[in-house]
Amino acid sequence: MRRPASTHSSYRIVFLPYLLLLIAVAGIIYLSRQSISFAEKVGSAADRLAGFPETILWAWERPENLSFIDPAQTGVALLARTLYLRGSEIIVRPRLQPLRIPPGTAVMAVVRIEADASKPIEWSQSQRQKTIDAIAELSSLPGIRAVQIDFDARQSERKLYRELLRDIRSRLDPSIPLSMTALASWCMYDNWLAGLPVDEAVPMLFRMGVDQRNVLLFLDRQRRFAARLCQTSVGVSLDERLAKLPPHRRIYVFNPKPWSESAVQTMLAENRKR
Amino acid sequence: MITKKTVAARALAIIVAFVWLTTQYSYACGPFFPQAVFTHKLHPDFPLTDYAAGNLGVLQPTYARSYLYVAYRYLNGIGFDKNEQKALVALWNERLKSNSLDEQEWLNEWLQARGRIPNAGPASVTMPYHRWRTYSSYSSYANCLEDTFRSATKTLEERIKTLGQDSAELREWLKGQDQVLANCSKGQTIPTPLPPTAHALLRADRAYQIAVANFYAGNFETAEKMFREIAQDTSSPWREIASLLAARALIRRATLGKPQDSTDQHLLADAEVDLKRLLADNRLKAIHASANRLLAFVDLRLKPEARLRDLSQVLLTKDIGDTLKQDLWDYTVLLDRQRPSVDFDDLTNWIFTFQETNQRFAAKYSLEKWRQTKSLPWLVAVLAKIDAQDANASEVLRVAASVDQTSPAYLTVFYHRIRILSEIDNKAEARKLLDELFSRTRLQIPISSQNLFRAQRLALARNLDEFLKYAPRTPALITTDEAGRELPDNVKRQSAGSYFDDDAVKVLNKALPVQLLQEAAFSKVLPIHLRRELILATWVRAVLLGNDGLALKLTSEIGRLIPHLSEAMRAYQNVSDPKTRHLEAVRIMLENPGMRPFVGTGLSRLTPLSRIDNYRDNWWCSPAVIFGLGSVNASTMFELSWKDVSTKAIPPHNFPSFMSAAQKSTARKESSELMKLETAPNYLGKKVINWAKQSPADPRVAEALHLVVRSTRYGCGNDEPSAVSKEAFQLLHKNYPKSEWTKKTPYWF
Repeated sequence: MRRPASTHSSYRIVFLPYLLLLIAVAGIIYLSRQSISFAEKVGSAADRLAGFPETILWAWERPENLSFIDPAQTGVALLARTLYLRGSEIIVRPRLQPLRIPPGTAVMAVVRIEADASKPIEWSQSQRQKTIDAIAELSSLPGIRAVQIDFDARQSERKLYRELLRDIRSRLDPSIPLSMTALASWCMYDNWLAGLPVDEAVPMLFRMGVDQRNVLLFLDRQRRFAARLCQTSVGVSLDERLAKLPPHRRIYVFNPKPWSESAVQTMLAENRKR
Repeated sequence: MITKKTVAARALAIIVAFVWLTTQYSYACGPFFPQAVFTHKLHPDFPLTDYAAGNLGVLQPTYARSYLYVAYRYLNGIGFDKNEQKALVALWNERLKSNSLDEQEWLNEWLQARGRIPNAGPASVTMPYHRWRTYSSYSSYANCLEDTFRSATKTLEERIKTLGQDSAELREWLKGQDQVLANCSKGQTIPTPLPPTAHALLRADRAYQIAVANFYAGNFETAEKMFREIAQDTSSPWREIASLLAARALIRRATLGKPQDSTDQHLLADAEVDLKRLLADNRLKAIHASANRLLAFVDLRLKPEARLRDLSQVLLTKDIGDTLKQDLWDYTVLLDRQRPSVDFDDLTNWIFTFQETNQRFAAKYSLEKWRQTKSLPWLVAVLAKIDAQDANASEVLRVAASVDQTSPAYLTVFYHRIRILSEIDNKAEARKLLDELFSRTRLQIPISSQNLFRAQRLALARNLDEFLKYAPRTPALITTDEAGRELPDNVKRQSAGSYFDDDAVKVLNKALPVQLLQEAAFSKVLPIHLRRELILATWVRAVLLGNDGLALKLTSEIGRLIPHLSEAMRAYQNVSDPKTRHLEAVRIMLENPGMRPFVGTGLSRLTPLSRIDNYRDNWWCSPAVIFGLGSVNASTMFELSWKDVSTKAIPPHNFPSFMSAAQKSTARKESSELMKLETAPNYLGKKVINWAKQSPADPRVAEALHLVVRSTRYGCGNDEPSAVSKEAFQLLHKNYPKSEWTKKTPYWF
């Protein structure tokens, strides 16, 4: 399957019939998306995540003592649950490791979805409902101001992911912003994120494998991701420093090791220099 | 004033923008790419049974501590029996399988057993985890463990036999058990006591169910009291386990009533007393193993330093038996939590010293310890840490030479002997020793260690053939695990074959002039698939450097090695005019997106030569573009470290010792030329555009222009390719409107 080289590329339309056909196709797509677009409007009315500081630390499944952070400067996105979807099953694994944060910290609950390639998700009504419940429940955790979903959905899983996001958005209180992580490639050439009822898609600029070169080249050329949802935040890792980042309002930082005060200070100092 | 024309223009702009925004593309996503691991850094090679059996290979200081503990025992001549080896592998598998979902298996077993009861109704338990009750609102703990479900399943099967599958008593038991399990994840569901008229066994079961329900509901004091009463009831089948659960209730109060990373030491001390009393009671032998495990858990939290000291001694006793897995688990957990003081105990000291990254400090400390103990573990530590310039290096080397090849330390000692000999410039001796090692076919060397030795030998190569002999490596693992955990996929792969590792790639791509690359490509020493990659890289490099003569020499061999290129190569060879021949080469490159002037590391480019790679690993990038990017994974000839990028320095050349001064000089000149190279779509595109302008009647031009536009879509680029793409597109449409290639090129990029 091929993808377009870059979003800013000029498409020269050669034949009028092609243009008319494209307009017709676009019309059909527009009509088919009406229900999503409404939700998108809810999400895009303003930056509803503006209450979060510019820097947000991902607190993954390990003991984390972040009691030293300054809530005015740093927020926390904690891995609260991992959902394993395999075949017709859903297995919910909650966070089992302690986390300490100071009072007043802006907290986002992250749910990681793991799919088993050898047992494709059946997405039965029961499985879908349990998945929605398991995610929606997170907003009732004390002090949670937003929910983020982390799911590296394969091509075949995009439809169900889109449905899930729509379901979650309608289940969550409208005041709770919904964030999602995104493979950088989703933000570069692809338009499948358009219309998703989320407040932001956070491009993950680390652990990119062979796609790393493409992503870095893309950023070098474009400086900004094409997908609108990807334009407010970036996700980076402490052990993969990047020379250039696209413009962003928020930066999510992953640390493969437990956070320490010195690591946070160093990272904040680096972010200030950008 | 808004004119009709303006309205029409705006409408068209909106429509075009709308078409653009709503168009969806489909392509594979996700960075799930197979990668070769040549030497494991985090754990030994799979299967881990070999390591557990004492085949240690070359020990890595980056191994997890449980592996280093095993090494220490073998180095001290203690080793492990078969059962202990199984326990070790079980521990490693459990730790490496971070995504194991065992809880679902226990739950399913219970649900299946329960499902056999007629009219059982829906089950109550959904998950075995419970939110932390008092503190740490974001975390949960495993409330109902494996024993909960296994015991419920076993009791159900026994009660079916005793009470009958269709009996009202069994349904009553099941009702109580469902209520017990309902507390696993939330709530307070406590079964009601049965009247004295009820079946005696059922009443005993119900008393136990009530106590357990209180336990899972977090009413630990109530549960403890109830368990103690059951323990005193000689008629209850639950009296033994109830004694143990009373202590568990105390432990839960101690650990769950405080913040998640602290405990109530007084309650734990009470639990310790309780458990020791149980262990002293011979009538309770059936629960002694469990009591011991709980006591270990308590000691771990109550007096971690004393527990660590105990464990470090216990772990070195011969015939540890059944407790090995738990003891090693606890020991490594304690080491993860806090590093003990220096000179804590020999095992712990050795592990931390071997892992120490301050080589000078570690070498000095190891040397002292080795002088004191004369033990093999400390000799291994000294060798691993000592610098060749150290005054004691020769003494250590002398002793190292006496380590027998049957010793579990042999390969580690050997590896560091070679390292030190190479560093002190005794290369002849190092080479001789390595060649002897390779000739010993009976010696079992793990693949990771083989690759380390081949890398050492590669660095000692005296000529090109020796270099090529040791350049290919067999991966210890091929994995798509992007988290770097060096774990196998659940996918069966075909035999791995051999590939270039970083050391060979750096020399081939950055140090050898094309003349030597040509010799390498013709050498029969390399396996054929690596020769194919190398000869193509050499041909592309020769063409780009304008070394026509050398490029021509390669054509027949390319045709032989890669038959589907033979026709293209003949066409190239048959062109007599150098300029036209160069254009023919450009055309061939455009047709084959896998053509590039460098070889890849590891699995390299997996897409066939003539096919577009979906992730744009096509042709080559400009070094100037790469310079601006920051860190880049691919080991291309342009690969740079972070430092290189920030200083804009040209990376140093790794010239092998067999290169002459003239060859080095040529390599530098060629490298300098290649650093100026434009990105492939630009370089190739500009050549074709000139060709199209100068020879518009040439029948090959239309196809070449189409291929240029394609390369700007799928190749590496910066802003400039758009200009090349547009010009090629316009030439194609203007000059060849009826060509099939024009029809295939509706857009430029």
